[in-house]
Amino acid sequence: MTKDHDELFEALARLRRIPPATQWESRVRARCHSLIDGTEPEPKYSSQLTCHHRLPYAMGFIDVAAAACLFGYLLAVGHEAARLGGLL
Amino acid sequence: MEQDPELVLAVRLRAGDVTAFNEVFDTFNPRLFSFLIRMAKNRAVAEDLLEETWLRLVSVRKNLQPETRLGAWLFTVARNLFVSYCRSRACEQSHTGDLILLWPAERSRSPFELAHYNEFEQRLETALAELPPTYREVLLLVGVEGLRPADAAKVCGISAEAFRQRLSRARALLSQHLKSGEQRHQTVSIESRL
Repeated sequence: MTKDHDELFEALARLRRIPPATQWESRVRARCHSLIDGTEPEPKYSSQLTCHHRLPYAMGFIDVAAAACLFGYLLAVGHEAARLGGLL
Repeated sequence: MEQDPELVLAVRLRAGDVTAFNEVFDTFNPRLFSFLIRMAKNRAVAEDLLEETWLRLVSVRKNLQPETRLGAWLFTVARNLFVSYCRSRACEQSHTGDLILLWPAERSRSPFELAHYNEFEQRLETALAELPPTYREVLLLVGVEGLRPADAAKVCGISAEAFRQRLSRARALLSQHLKSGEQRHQTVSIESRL
């Protein structure tokens, strides 16, 4: 290990801790207490992350919007094709 | 012979001792959060991953083995949750160069505090954030969070030798990034004076 690398590790060890938000901490601690006490039923263990709750809603909206745009485009293309083909 | 405090806590936690949970939470929550936020580079994601980590500990507390080392167990779960999250969400590569922006709003940042977040720390944080996650995590676990390399290797799910090699490569990469960061900083300083 070179002197540079030792200094690098010392610098890493001095990096400050980034604190969690107080409100978040209190909420999570209280939730865990409720689970230990039995006042809240234990969640069914799932491999899904709670953070999925933040994203799928937005992703679902985007999917619907994209599908709507595609449908509108196909409708317009179909209408134009019918018009050019003399069907309309 | 005095028992390892972590092992004693694990036993008390298994028995449903809430004060034991508080001790574990107070000891490891700041460390786990710092680790996750530097990995995820996003406060909301770090919070979600860490909440899930604690919920999992509480869910499996009755089944904890007597020899469970809580610190290593928690970091393993947190790290695995982050890996799963990345795989399912294709983590964005953009990084937050200024980690101080990830501090919570309600914690006041005095001018003294901000001034102390000095230029070298800023460059070190930026250089860390630029590393690929596989190298960043080994430096965070050993360098920042102080895990023993043997424990950190278990957290990462690799052999001690593989971990040693990865750590060596990670240190070299970090050094390179720091040097290029310093050069960029000097270029900017010169340009701003012209």
